[in-house]
Amino acid sequence: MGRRILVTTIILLACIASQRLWGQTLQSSYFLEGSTSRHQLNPAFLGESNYVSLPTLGNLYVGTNSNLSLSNVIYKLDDPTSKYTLTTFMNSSVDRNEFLGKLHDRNRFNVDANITLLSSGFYSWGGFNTVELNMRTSSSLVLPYELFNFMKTGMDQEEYHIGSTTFNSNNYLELGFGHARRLNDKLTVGAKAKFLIGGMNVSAKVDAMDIALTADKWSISANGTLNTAVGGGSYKTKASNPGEISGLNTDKFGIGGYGGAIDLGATYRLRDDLLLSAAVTDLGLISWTNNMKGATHNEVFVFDGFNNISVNQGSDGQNNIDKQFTNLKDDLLDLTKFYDQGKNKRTTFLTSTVNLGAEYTMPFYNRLSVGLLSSTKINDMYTWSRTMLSANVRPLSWVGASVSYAYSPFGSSLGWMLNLHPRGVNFFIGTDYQFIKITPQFIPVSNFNTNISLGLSVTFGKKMAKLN
Amino acid sequence: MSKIKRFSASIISMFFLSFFFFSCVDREYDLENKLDATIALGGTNFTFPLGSVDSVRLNTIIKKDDKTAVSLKDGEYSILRKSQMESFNVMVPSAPPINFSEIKMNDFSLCKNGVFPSGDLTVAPMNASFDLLYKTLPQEIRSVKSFAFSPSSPVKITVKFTTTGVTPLATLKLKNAKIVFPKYIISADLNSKNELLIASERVNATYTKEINVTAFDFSKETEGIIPITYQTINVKKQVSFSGILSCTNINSTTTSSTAKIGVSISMSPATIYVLEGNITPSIKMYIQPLPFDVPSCLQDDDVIMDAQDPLIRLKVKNELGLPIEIKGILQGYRAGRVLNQVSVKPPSPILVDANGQTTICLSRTGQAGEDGTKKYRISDLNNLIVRIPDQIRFSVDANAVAQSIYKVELGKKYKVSVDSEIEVPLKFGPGLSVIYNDTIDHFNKQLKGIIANCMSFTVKVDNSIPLVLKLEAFPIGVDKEAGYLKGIFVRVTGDINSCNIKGVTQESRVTVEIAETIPGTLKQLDGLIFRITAISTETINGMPLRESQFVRIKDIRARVTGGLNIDLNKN
Repeated sequence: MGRRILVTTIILLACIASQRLWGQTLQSSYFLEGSTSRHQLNPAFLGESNYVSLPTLGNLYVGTNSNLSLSNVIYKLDDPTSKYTLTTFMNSSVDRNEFLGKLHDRNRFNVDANITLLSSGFYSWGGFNTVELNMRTSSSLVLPYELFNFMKTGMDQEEYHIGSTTFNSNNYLELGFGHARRLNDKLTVGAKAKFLIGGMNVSAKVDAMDIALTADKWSISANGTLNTAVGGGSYKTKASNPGEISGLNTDKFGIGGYGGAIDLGATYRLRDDLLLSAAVTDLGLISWTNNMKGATHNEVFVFDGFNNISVNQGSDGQNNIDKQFTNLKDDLLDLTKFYDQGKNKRTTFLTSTVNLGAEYTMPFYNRLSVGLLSSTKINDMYTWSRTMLSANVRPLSWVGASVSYAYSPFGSSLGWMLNLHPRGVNFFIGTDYQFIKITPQFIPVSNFNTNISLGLSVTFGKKMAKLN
Repeated sequence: MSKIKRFSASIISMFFLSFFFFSCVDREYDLENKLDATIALGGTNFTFPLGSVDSVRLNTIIKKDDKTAVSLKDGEYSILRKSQMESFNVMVPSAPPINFSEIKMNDFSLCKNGVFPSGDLTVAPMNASFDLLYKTLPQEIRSVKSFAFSPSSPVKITVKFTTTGVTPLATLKLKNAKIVFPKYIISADLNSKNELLIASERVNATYTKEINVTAFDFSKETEGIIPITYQTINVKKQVSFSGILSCTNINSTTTSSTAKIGVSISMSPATIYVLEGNITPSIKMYIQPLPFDVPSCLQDDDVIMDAQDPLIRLKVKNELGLPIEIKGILQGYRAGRVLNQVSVKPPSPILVDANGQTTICLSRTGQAGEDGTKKYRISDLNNLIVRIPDQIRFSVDANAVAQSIYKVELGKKYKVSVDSEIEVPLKFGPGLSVIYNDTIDHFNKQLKGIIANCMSFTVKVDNSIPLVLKLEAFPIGVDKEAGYLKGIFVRVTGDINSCNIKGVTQESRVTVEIAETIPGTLKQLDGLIFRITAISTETINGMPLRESQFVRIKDIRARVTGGLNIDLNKN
């Protein structure tokens, strides 16, 4: 059982979703004209032709991010007497300094997904119009360095001051209407208006956790907040400890809130062989109407041993050692007790993205270009950027492909994309984080950063000879 | 579309899709099957504050129930066990009747020298031997003071006067005659001088006089008490006769010249009913064995008991008119073999009162026992239980006390009943060494998956018991029959101090270290057998064990040196 929990935890950490996403469209598609999803990166991008995506397959995207890799938590086990060859960082054979030296101050685990339920693009009203319905979900977990230090170092250090530990999850439906039009031979602009229907938002944060471990006493204090926004939901509380949140009533789930967002973009052909582009996406917010607040009471958990352990065999009283162990386990699991603080309205802002791109077409072969894309996620203190250099080739009118290399705080990555768009069909598949090896449990070995996206649409009408 | 273009498109598509194929599954990173899920917790010096244990009161260790001899009196423990009552009879057998030979005095001739008497004739005193020779007294009789005869079969002495040669025409009268019997003959028919007086009786032919004898009281004689040898009593006394013979019409016509008067004395057979004297009846006293069911904490073979004042109480009910002297040997048995024995021979004899109930208390100090009981000192009485027996037997040598004179009804069964009890107040002297084994086990299931090579437990112990507790611990595995587990070293440091001289709880610190000497052995540990040796010290000698006394283990800290590893693997 314990082993299953451990393995599951590793897998879950690799799969926690984040709201601080790259968006949920492959950046590798940014410079591929034939892609039907790239208008999600810049609403000024014109479509090659009219299209209607297959239901749920317009842009099916799953991605994970982390600034840790599997090799940060899984180590080779050099023990000839063992039948195992791997072990976790918690194994005594793993050097503390080696493990902790690979960690960051804040260790992030993100996962996000997007399912384009329906998407359509068509030329009309002097430009290219898009209508799409996306289901978007993203979650993140941030674990501070000191938490791992505590796990690994244990009682070799008496006090720990663990900083902010957060978990966020954001889930909503997005209905977008976009329009892009060429203003002249050089400039194309586009905009997209999005209507957002909130599903569920969870924001849990333990601001500080102080742990003191001595031979006589363990004391742990944790302060934090919990916000859960979901339509019709309410917290369950414990009868034994009024107000303490024990779960969520889910009988009357409904819409949690509404919001809106816009995407704005432009392209400018500086020269025949150089196209500049800029966009800001997801500029918006969601107002959650049924936000359930929770907060800790600044309680200090103190354990100085079991009291009056019963010595009578077969005793079934409260002092039975088994029951006291169970109580201790329950207390530790409930270490951070959140109490119901009532309800209010809460507004969450989307993480906006600013994309700045430049594409240079090779003079010696005009079906080959290189692109440079800078993407910046704007999200308060978690703002960060990713820079991608891409080589794009369009050997045939219906085949496009790109290979990219990018660098971000999560590390460097290799990406690619293939787009096949013969008349009547448009298919793409690719990734911004190509993994080389994966475990049999489909976890990338080298790092946790990976994503994959694919889409299938039906195209119709004539192909536009010239796009942006 | 030309074939070249189609071929180019295919090549490009395959190139990109091959990224997926290149990204192969690395079986070396099979987290399900190749991941050792052993984790280390707590660093290299994991210390866990385990807390405290419920107070262990003595009443949970020494339980008062029917299975053991534990008794409580005012909250103080003692071991108290009673034997079953045993009754037996003491009897001095009856003796056959005493038969007397007839005593004949010399005849008195009326005509002397041819002259017939006339008027009052004084009879010169005549004597005869009155011998009591009886050879079948019971063996138990050492001396006799008196015999008493049963009123239901009275003893009679018959005095007979027989006159011959005198016709009824003559008249012979005995006047103012007296027969003096030995003083030991007790009869209401005799006067204070033990004389039978005959005032005036015609004795022409035969005259008979009977006397009812109720007893023989030899104390009235000069000999006093008659010593008995060879079951024989031989008392020689005289009986004498004197008086006046009044003769009327005594002549040759009426009286023969050879006329004479004869006197004889006879006694009917006399059966002794009550005998007073020095009597030593045979007493075969038997006391039922005393089961000595001690609590389990005292059952170890190596326990050395030093009870401050154990007490053996004998309750004897004696219907015999004789006191009984008791001595003998107390023996402690274990498994049918004599373990210890103590001779019961106090300086002053142990006496059971006659005709009553006597409680005899034997103790080490001679002070133990209730008021009104007879207390005797057996200084080495503790030796009886120095090694704890499972049964105590008292081989009694009981004898009637021979120095005094008592009355006994011959043939009567006198009932004597006796029961015994042993009471050992749990107050100890300096020689005490109680060894008690207790097992804490079933670790293996609880600690399954925990890997460590050295653990130590530091505890503080509050002790209000007036005994110093020394601990030893031995490791055992799941297979308890296999004996101590090899490859594990267990050391206990520190003793548990007793309470202080005022009975106030004292605190001690004890450390139990467990380390494996053969790697991996600690996984097999299932428990520890604690060998607890309780000893007494000078400061706490004589303090009683009370049910309210307790041991409490607190501030338990478990420390795993080198780190605590937990094996979360399936197997």
